[in-house]
Amino acid sequence: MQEKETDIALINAVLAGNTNEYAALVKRHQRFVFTLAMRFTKNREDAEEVAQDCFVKAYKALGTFKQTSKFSTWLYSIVYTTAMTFLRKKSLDTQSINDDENVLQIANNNADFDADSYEKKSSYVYLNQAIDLLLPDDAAIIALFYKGEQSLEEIGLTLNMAPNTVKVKLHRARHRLKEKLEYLLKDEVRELI
Amino acid sequence: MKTIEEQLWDYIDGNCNSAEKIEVEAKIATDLKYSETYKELLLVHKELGSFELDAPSMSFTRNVMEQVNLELKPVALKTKVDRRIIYSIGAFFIVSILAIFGYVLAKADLSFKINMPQINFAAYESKIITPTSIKIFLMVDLILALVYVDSYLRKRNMTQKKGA
Repeated sequence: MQEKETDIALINAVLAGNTNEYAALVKRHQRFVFTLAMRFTKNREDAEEVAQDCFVKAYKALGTFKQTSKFSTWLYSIVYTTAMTFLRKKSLDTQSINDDENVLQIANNNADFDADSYEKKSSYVYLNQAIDLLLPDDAAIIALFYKGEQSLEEIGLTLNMAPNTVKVKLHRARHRLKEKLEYLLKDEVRELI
Repeated sequence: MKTIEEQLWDYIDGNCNSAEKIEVEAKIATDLKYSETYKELLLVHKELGSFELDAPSMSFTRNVMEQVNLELKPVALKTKVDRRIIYSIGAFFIVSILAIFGYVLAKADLSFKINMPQINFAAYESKIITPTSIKIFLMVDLILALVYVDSYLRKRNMTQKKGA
């Protein structure tokens, strides 16, 4: 709540003419916006371009922000639309987001895993790579839910989906992640049991 | 019907109601498979909650601000409307409408007269009531009376048979 008030205070300062205050907003949200962009673009250069574009778009549209929802929710919806536009421009196969074929595609990617090499890597790196193998929507939902501190309703607003759809996608994404993490974390699970 | 994983994810996310929560907790305590799945999911949940966000390049904020400074300053799109202006506009229209209505009422001729149509039945009487039409009318009446008597007698016979 405090953060929301601070965001709004910064926005009001920018709207009042103190545009340098926008840098504080950028610094506060840049890491998450960049991470979210990474979930769609899958590479740093493109993610940086998308993230910058998002902040510029948000700045230009700041006057239209109604302040009835969190600034972050509004900003993440800009990230989503910008990333999708970027993907379309790059002629990526965005149709595959909702296709069942992706299950097969992911299964194929999964086959590329080499257990020995991953054992040497930290779980953080492994987790990031496992998330990268998810569908862009699913990866974004995971990021929004766990790091964006967004509720299912807010994620629904960001991604233009019903909260129930978000819930189903979140379950599905975690199920797939669990499958990928299962064999690496198997020993840890056993220790816990 | 929810799967075990769905039930457990709802429990972990705190999306269960109190009854479901008690049910899941009981299953975790008693069912070994349930308990193992719960521990696995909890581990995944903790891993997901602990991953670090990616950081953009060091010059990210500066690059954004350079682009932002090329743009026009954003302005809040809040229209400042004085309510007195709205009320005075409303009052002007109401007064205008009332004035026009009053003027029309004053100028209108409110007296009116209803002219009832007059029908001369005598003119048609000779055409409709002829000896032939009277005979047809009586014939139809006779037939209807015979049909009625017939149905009445049939019903009475039926009731007499039933009584016997």
